Amino acid sequence: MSTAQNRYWRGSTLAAGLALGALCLMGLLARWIAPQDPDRIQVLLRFAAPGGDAWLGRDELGRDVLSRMISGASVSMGVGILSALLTTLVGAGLGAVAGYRGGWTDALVMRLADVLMCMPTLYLVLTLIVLLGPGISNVVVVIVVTGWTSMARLVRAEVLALRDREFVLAARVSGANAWDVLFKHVLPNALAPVYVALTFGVAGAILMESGLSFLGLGVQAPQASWGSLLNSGRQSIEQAWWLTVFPGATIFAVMLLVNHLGEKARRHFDPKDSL
Amino acid sequence: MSALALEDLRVDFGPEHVVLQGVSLWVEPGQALGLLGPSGSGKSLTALACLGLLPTGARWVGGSLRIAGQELFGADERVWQKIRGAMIGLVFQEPFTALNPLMRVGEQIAESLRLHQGMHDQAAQREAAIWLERVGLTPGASRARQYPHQYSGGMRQRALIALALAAGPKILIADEPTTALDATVQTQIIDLINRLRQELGFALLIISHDLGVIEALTQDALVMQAGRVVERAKVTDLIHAPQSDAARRLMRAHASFMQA
Repeated sequence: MSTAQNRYWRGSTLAAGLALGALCLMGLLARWIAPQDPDRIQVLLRFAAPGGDAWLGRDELGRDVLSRMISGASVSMGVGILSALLTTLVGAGLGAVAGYRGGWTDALVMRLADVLMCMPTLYLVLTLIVLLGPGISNVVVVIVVTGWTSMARLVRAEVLALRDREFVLAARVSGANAWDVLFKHVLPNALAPVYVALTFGVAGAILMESGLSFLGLGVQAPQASWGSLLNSGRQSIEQAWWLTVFPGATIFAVMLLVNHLGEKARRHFDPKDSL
Repeated sequence: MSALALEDLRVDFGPEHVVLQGVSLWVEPGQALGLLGPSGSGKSLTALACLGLLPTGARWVGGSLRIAGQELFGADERVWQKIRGAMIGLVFQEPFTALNPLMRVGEQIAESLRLHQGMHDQAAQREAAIWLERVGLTPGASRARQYPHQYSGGMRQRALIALALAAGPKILIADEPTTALDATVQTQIIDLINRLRQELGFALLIISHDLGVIEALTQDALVMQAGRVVERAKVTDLIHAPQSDAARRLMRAHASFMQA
């Protein structure tokens, strides 16, 4: 790779990392950063367009959209990144072990995945959240429980293809135990598609959280999240575009940033493409 | 006590497909033994069996396998992990796929040293670099930091030989170690194996369908066919007066190839 591209990747990765870090920090410090009280209702100012003292406009109750987005950042970033990471960890771990061990381990894990996958996700999610009770940490649990299956399938397929490769046999010939063979030789070679799936997982989790919040099963009103803002803004999309465009664009931007980091990670761990 | 002793080894893929029908062979300490035979005669399977690494679906049915006197038929995986690498090493046919593409070459050798010799990370890395120098990959320290894709085929085979020998096994099995390489590199690899054998004194089981390779590495050879050992003889006798059908066919093919 040329040095110009090199510099681009290094600089842009730093920028993407910093941007994501800033968004997380913003979520954590929301109470002090938000220019206005995110829950303060000013009915007279409802649907005020962006500008003046509300840079990103006001919603149907006259609340400041910017402040609500800042206050919702911790929920969205937290749920998005945490559940995507956990989903990957659980899914990749189970898929790898199932693919490598084969036999009854494989049968058990993959049949469980099949059972979960053949149920409509929404019903499964709703049932689980009703059982566990609403709340943001339960949203993460539910996303992981329903989401690990596709990651497991992905990793299992990769592991199956790698398991009988000669370098894996060579590691065993050197006396490596099953654990080392799987986690040092097989799994690292199976991760390229996982980085991509992980980035989509972040966006998927943010949207799933919004759906659950819309049904009152995620964040509890009046707490905002990007997803719930997007969802409630949809009803008034014709009179107030800013209620959907800003949260939507933010989710999109986060997805791009995570995607960029995922691509960078993939390149970093592939010596042929290393920077 | 033989370095490696197989007696009446039988392996099948289910009762209908018996692939090794009683293979017996002995390799004495420091000795080199060739294993000849056409494709599908069970040579590679015999090699894998000697490491307790039968492919999925294959089963041990009977026989005995002893390495340095220790009976390993039916041994469990933990026992095998102590044997593999430390007592017996294997060099593969295909050097292009036998190294982990995501791991530095030195690290792969160091891993084996850590496992079997209890070396700490830095000592193992240093020793790995020394091993790379020993097989002709210089300078060892910088070669150790490279990834497999930065190596040529011959270099990879050298690295694999270092990997197989690093933990000090007393027997090396080389399964068609030169088949995937071009002729000049083949000779280099054969010379390397001969030189290392003089330095380290390990026993060698060399598997090939190429009589020239066998001849360059050993005087004694077995001929296998259809899962059986059909002949045991000096290589020169095999060339001039092959007894078994399989040996005769191999020699005829070899001769006509040489004439052409």
